[in-house]
Amino acid sequence: MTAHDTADSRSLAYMRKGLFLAVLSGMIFSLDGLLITRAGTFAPYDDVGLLLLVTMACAGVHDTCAGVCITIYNWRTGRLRELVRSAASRPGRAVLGGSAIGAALGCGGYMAGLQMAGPAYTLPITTMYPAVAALLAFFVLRERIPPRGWIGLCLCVGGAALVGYVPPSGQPGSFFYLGLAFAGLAALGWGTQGVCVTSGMDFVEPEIALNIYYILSACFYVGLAAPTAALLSGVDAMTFVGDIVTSRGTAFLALAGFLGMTSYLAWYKAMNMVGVSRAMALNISYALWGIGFTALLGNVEITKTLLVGAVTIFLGMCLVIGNPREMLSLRKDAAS
Amino acid sequence: MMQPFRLALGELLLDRGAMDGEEVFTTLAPRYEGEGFFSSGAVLQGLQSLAATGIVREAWGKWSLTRYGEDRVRRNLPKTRQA
Repeated sequence: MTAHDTADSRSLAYMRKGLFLAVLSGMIFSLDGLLITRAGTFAPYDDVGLLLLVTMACAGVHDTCAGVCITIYNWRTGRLRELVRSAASRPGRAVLGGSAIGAALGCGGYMAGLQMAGPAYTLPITTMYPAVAALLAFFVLRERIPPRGWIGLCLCVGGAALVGYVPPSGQPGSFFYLGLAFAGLAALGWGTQGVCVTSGMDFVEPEIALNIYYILSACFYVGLAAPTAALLSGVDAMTFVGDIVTSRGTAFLALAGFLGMTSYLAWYKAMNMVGVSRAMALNISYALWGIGFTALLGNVEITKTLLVGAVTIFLGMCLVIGNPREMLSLRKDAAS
Repeated sequence: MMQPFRLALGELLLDRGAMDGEEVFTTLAPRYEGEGFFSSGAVLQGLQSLAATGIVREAWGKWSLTRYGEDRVRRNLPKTRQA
C-alpha cells in the first residue's frame, strides 16, 4: 500500500464517519422532538390560547439549556479561549451571521407561518430547507452534488413533507398568503444558516460554531422573542416565568436541550465533514426515526401516508449516501 | 492576534509551505500552551477537516495548501495579514 493509498483510505474513513454523524443527528433530533412534545403536555406549555408565547418560551428554555451544555463541554475540553478568538475572527463572523439568520428568519418565519397559514401548509414548505441549502451550497460553496444526490435529496424532502403532512382545517384566514411567505422565508433562513455556518466552519471548529449559535439563539428567544410574545399576549411576564420554573415540563425541555445540543453537534460536524447537501438530507431523516420511536411508544397509527413517506425517505437516504468515495473532493473549486 | 485553530493551521502552511503533522504540532505547541484541546490528535483532525474541504492536501505524509486553500486562508486572515 502506497502513502497515497493510506491518505485516501483515511479520507474515506473520515467521510464515512461524517455520514454516520449526519444519520445520528437525525435520530437524536427525533428524540428531542418527542421530549418537546411531552413537555407540551404540562402547564403552562399546554395553554393553546398562548400558542405564540408558549412556543417562544419552549424554544428559549430548550436553547438556553443546550447553550449551557455546549459551553460546559467546551470549557471541559479546554476550548473557551478558542471560542472567544473564533467569535472575533472573519470566519467567526460568517458563523455569527448564519446563526442570526437561522434564529431570526428561520425560527421567526416558522412561528409566523404556523400562526398565519397553519401547519398544513407551513410544515411542508419549511421541510424544503435542505433543498434550499443544497442549491445555495451548489452556487455559493460550489459543492459537488452528483445527479443521484439531487434525486436522493428530493426524495428525503418529499418523504419528510409526507410524514409531517397535516390535513388543512377550516377556511384560510386573511393573512394566509403572508403566512406562506413567512414559511418560505423560514426555509430560506435555515438553508442560509447551513451554508453560512459551513463556510465559517472551514476554519472554526463545529463545537465552537455551535456554541456561538446557541448563545445567540438563547439571547434572541429569552431577550427578545419571548418578552415580545408576552407583551402581545397581555400576560404578566413574572407570573409566567414563575409557572415555567415550577413546571415539570421544564425538566423535559432541559433534557431535550441536552439531546438537541448533541444532535446539532453531530449535524454541524457532518456538514463540515461531508458537505451541506448530504448532511442536511440525512438530518431530515428525523421524520423517519420519529415514526419509529413513536411507534415503539405505541402512540402512532401507521397510516399509508406515513408508510409511503418513510419508504421515500429511506430510499432518498440510500441515494444520498451512495458511494462515499465520490465525496473525497467536496467542492468544485478545490479540484482546480 | 491569535486566529481560530484551523485558520492558524492554514496560516502556518501559508508561511512555511509543506509540513508533516508532527512539525505542525511542535511549531504551534508554544502558542497553545495551557489549552486543553490542543494535542497532536487535534492537529491531525484539523488538517483532515481542511483536506475534506479541499483547503489542504496530503502527499507523502506532508500537508500543504492547495491553490483554492491559499485563496481561502488569505481571505479569512485579518486585513493586515492578507498581503
